[in-house]
Amino acid sequence: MVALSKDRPRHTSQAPQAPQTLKVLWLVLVASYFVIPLLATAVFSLQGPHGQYSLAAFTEELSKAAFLRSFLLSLRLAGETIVVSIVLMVPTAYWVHLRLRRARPLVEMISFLPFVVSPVVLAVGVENVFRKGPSWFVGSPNVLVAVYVVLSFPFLYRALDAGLRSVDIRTLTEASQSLGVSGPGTLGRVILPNLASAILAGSLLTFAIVMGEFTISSLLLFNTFGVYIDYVGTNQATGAAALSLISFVLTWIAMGGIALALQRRGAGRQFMIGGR
Amino acid sequence: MTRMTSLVLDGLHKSFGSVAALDGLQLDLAPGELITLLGPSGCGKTTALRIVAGFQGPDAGSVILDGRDITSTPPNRRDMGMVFQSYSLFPNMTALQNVEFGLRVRRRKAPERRTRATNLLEMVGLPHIASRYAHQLSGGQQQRVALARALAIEPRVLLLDEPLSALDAKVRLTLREEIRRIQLELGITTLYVTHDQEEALSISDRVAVMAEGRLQQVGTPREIYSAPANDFVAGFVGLVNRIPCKVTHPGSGLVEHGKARLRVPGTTDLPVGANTEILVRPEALVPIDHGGSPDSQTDESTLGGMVVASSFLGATTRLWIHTAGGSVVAADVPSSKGAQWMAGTAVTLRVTPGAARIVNTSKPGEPPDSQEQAPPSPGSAKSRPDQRREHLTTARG
Repeated sequence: MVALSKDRPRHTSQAPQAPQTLKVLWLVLVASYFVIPLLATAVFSLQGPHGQYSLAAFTEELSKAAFLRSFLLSLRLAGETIVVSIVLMVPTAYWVHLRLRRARPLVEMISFLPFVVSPVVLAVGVENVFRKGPSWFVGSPNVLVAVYVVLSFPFLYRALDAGLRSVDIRTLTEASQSLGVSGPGTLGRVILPNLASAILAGSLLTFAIVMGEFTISSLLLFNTFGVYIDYVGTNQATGAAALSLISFVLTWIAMGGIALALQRRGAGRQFMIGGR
Repeated sequence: MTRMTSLVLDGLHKSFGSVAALDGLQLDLAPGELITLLGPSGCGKTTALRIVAGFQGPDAGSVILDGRDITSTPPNRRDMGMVFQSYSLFPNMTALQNVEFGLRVRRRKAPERRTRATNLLEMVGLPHIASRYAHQLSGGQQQRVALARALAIEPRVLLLDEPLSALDAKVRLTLREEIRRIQLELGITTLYVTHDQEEALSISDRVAVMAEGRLQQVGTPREIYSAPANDFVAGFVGLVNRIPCKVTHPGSGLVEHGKARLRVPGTTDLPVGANTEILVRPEALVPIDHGGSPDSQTDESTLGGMVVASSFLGATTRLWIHTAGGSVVAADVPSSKGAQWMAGTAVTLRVTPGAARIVNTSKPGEPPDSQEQAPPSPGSAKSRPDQRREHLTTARG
């Protein structure tokens, strides 16, 4: 009996050990692929002109008016893009799920287009299409919102699509209508609150895209945050590294928000399976 | 208080492509009445309910509520409460908020909303779960809250679309009794949809049996069960034995199944030698003795045969008997007496007077064509005796 009880734990604890080590090793390898360049950038951004380490590059960049201008511009564009995208996408995705189910593959295919069309082609296309538009739109960074809405389309639509799939949209809509709510009212009072996490996830992705976008704003000659980082990089390498890290931290804050949103959506899906 | 409302479904037609989901459905609901639309999947019962709710429009016909045509009224203005088959509570709201929702839409004041919602949660037996979200409730609790939510707006008509089908058997039984209790208490006109015949018979004032978009029979549960209007109703509602017979003495109501002579009503106009079927419920076939030889005939309106299998059903035991005439029929006996009818035992079955009905008569020399005339009948005990026996717990002697 004693021999048996001693053998058993040894046997069970040894068996999974080898794959566990492999898993950890693999994770370390993958993590280093991302962490080493970041560390290198961080170390470089902290290097002073005489080889000493300091936060000079960060404080210098953060104190420049041009930084604040470009950062606030990108922030405004991100906000506007998110609002326009939600206003356009939420009713569209809802309607496609509720009434135009057969159109869903088509909309999904369209949502891939921004991945297929290169940003350069998109910028040239935008310039041609909006050439005769009003100056408050074409002559200002506002035109970027139109492009960013297209760029963020796949991300927001997919997040909404996942959100709409996780709830029984038809039954909720009909339940709401039977209780006296009109069609648009149902969207606002019932559907939107239940898509909050999906909308949040799509919005954060949109935010991250707009804050880091460079190609289109550069081609259309607007000085967004991405363009500013590139400009600084040509004059002061450590400053560009510092700005890249700042941008990176902002993006990670956005990603953290997405993770939280997804966690909450997981709880919603559990409900749809049927509760306990 | 709930208003007493009448509802008329007047000649409803609805097609999906080439398939007719509803073909002239005509149904009147009296104020305070609970009518169940009963039928197999695809018979059009849910389509009818959705047309009444306003979620679909009919191709022809109209829905009339208290004498007013509401066919083109949008669902949010019909004043009808609905409980759905799938769980429909709003996931972002608590149970109390769900019940309050319709009252909030109607701009009722907060204290009134709260009082009414709390009272309704008490009525459905769930005062303690007011602050829970849908994912924290069981399926049965969710459907109770959905019922309370539908009743909160004091609807003119209550619509229930298979509200119990997702629940387990025990909860289903309890909840259907509660639904009926509340319906009677409030006196609310109710249209209930189900494919479960036991549920329909137990809960309804009247049952409307549907098949292929058409109404087959409307009647009280007792009428539907004991006097089915046609072959389909007989086969769908409850289990029924189909016994092939030949008309021998139409004037005196005698038909023959093998050597057995059975007396049934409705043979007067039939030709001698016509093939027909009689329908008999399992409880109307009473084993009266061990019968000696399976071929022996003791009396008129008795069938000789041999027990081939038995199924224990709790209070009753179902015997499967191979008759001398070559059919397999089911007969229900009290389980206290079930043990004496072992497989291999010869038995004589008495057909309860007045319990057999004649259907599907064809010309002499032609077989009766019941399966062509009617949709598949799950309650038929005769149609495929061999297959049926495969699913039984047999006690072969």
